[in-house]
Amino acid sequence: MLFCDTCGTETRDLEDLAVFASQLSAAGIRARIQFASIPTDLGRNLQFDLARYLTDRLPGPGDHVVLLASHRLTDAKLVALRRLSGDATRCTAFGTYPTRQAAIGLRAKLSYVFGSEPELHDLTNDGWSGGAGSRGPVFGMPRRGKVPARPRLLLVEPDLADPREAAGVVALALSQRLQVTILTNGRAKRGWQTTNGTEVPVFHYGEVLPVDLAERVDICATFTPLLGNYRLQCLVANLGRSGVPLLDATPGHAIASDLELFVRAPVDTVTLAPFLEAEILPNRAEIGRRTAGSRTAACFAPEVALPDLGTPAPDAPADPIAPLAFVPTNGIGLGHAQRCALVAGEIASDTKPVFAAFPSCTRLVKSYGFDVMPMISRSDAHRQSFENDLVNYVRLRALTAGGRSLVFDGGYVFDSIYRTILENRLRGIWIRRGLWQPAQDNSVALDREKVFARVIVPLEAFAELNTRYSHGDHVREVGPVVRRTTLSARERDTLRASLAARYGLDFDHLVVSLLGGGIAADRSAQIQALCGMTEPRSDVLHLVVLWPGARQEPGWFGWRRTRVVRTDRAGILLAAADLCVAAAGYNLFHEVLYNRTPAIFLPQTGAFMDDQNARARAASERGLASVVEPNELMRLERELNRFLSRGEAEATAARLARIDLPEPGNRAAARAIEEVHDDDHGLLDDTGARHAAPRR
Amino acid sequence: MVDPRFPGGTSAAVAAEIRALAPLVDLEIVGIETAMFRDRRVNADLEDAIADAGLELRWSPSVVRADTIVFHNPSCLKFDVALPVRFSCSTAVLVTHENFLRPGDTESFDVAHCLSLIESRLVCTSRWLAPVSPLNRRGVETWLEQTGAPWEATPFDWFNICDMPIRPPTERPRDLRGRHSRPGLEKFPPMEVMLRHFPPHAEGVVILGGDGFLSEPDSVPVHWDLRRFGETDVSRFLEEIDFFVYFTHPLWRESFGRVIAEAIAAGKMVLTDPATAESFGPAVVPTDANEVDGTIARFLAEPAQYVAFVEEAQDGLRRFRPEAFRSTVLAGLEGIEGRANALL
Repeated sequence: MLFCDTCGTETRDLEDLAVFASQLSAAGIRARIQFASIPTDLGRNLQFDLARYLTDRLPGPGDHVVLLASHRLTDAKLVALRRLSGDATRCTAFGTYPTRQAAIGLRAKLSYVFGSEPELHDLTNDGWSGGAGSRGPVFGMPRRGKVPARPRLLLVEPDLADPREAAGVVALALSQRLQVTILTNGRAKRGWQTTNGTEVPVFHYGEVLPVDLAERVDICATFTPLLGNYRLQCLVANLGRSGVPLLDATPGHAIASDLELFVRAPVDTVTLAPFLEAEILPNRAEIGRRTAGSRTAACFAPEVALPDLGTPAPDAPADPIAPLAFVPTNGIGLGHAQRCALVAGEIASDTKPVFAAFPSCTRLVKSYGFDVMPMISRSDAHRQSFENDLVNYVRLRALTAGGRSLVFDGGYVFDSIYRTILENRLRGIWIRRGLWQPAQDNSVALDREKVFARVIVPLEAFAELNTRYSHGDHVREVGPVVRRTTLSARERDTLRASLAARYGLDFDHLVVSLLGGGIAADRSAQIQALCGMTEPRSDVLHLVVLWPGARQEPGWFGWRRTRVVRTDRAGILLAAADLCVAAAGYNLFHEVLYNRTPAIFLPQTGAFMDDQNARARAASERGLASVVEPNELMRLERELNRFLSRGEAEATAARLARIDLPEPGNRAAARAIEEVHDDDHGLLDDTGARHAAPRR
Repeated sequence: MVDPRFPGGTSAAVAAEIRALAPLVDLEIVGIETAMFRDRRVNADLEDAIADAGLELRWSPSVVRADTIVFHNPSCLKFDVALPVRFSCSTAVLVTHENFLRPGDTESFDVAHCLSLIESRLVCTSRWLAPVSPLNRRGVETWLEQTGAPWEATPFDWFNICDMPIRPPTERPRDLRGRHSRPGLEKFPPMEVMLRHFPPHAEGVVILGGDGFLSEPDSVPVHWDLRRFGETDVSRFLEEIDFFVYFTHPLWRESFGRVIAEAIAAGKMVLTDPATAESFGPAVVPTDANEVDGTIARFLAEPAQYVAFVEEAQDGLRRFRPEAFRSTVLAGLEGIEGRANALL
């Protein structure tokens, strides 16, 4: 096994280590990094970069340790290496050694750790990539994807703060002949998106590894030097070996002077556009051939740039576990999981979907007949808020290795989702229901839309609730995704009779409260109040319907007219009910509506949730339901009595029966997934990157 | 000539040498400042020896002229790019305190670079490399064979003077083990060997110079009494043990092993690897990691043998006394000077 480490102590050294490991992985060489050698206070991106390589195993006999930045070996690191080197006897060190003594001294020190003489690789004279302080060997792998009809142009660090340059980028992004992506630093990205939004995909260095970004680039123009930027050097190595035209847009064209695989280009984005049109696009294939065949590109091959580090092996299984994976977020309730399950159930492809879901959702998903890989829920016991997502990332990568598509349903695109799509070269499909709250900041979610090949928007039943958050051919709107349970009058009567018999309670009105489930907000007081409100009525059976695993309060038991039911078949009870008291989440709202069940909605109002108030009001204004604020318990009682004693339930049911609702979108959503998953004809390239034309 | 800021064996050896030779020769002490010891102080022992001899330390004169120039430990030049002093003499001797080669014949430092700095400033009749021990000599001679450098190994060893006070061994030895060295990794064998040398069943374990272990205390056994280098006076440390178990990393060797001589003089039994033991002949027990425990048990069972062995070892130290040094080195110098003149 190959273990990698760095002798540098700066954050950048660890970033370089992650880049090195990812490049090795692309070359089929499986690298490991010892958990104990990594500081605990790293930034989130870097933790994700490193997570999949971490191990707490010590090297054993025959294992091989590779050190980067070995010229910066400190005594403290030497002592740590003595502990972490285990029984490894082979060490390869990369670094720059300005004197022979520096190399001899390092060789001696490392030999005392490993018990054998290390192999030193001096990067000082490694041409363009080296120079004093070079950290690791630059090598690259050809990418796998093919060039789409609209080539993808990567602009590396254009001066986005300069209005003229920024205008040039916008003009390029509007081109029908190119797709533009920007790679820059975090600050420049924030500044750009504050002004220009998320229409143009922007990556900052830390959020994508060179090997993954290379899959999405067909022409690269750099406005910044490469020296000292190992990440960028490796990106260039990958692109160079892939035959991607590389343009030097730096003042003085120093890169092109050093490396013959670069083409001198205009140094500003405004004049770059006509240059691309006239010089690059018509000759792209020929330039690419020259690039891939250059002497420098040949030097980037691992077998040239690296010593023997092991036998390459394929990094993806030939028979993937989940060619088509569905990943619903947990959210507040079970809506995402249910929506996914409904859509997955409509998939006609030969590929059976496999799910990854949080524990609160696994039973529901299984009830639809799908296999589920459990994910870890967020917990206050975790040291960091995203710690669960690190584990989920590693699991999702394994689940989808060699797979083709990943369908995600959720509002916030977790790092695990974003990275799994990028790194496993998956076709990302995002089921994204709308109705975000007006004050909600979804810039992070929309920023990550760039890795999805398709966005499926299940619409709300009422037109005024639908807002478009992003545009392009990749966005597909479908009718509401809803579970419909149709009972004939006879079936309904039979079910109600069996309930009466089961609980020994005759009733005229079946009231179903669906206020808690999954990890829902606390509605125990409202449920308890409903128990009290229905208690004096001998004509009512009140069922508190909970999802298995949901928390239940002792106070809900012991009522004469109330029973607590834990079931994954709430839909059938809903269909048999005379009145439903529920939150106004997307799924339940539409289920109530499409099953024509009268309802009193108690909207949930979390800052990070959809706008349930707006949804409930839309139904209320049409006379299809009533809305009660969760704290209005007296009003809830009045509404309950109005529905049950004054004919409102029947009147609402009659109005519901007359309303025209949009065609449900379950099948349309499945079809939109199949188009992406089954496409073998160039609608999408191999990375799943979309070919959306920009909005005019 | 010496960089007088060497912290350990080199300064101690030169100090003893000054005391031994000052009465007999016209001696001048020249100090050079090398990059190796930037911001360090002059070694106190050496400073005392110079003062005791009524001499003064001359710092980096532009030219040094003498019949014979003895340059101690040229490895101190390994981080320098130039040498500001010029040398003019009949005979130049470089005392190779640092082994040129490590086991496996890998260079210990950039020998050619250090020697070239001296060569570029040196005008003399004959140039000699003076090894300090048989092991050290083998490295020098191998290096000379490999490189063809314009130096010759002296026919005699420029050994370290060992004139430490002799203390009698205990008649009732106990399983009290210890070792003393600078804290560098080269001074210690791998951890599994250390664990075998200093097991929990030993009555006491003291490791002086265990700074590296102290930086990661969770990785070392609790029964080890770890002390930083210099934390305890060496003679006091030696009073706390009966067995000095001294093994270095197998890829590094002591050129002479002054710590071993100190332990023998203090009346302790020394166990070390066969290569390191070579400098001291029968005065130490050559062994390997697997035999340390058994050897100690054998001598614990036979205290008389322990006493006899240590006393014999102390007797063997006589060959490193100042008078032995004077006769060996002065005669040796006369010999090589005669050979050089004969060539003329």
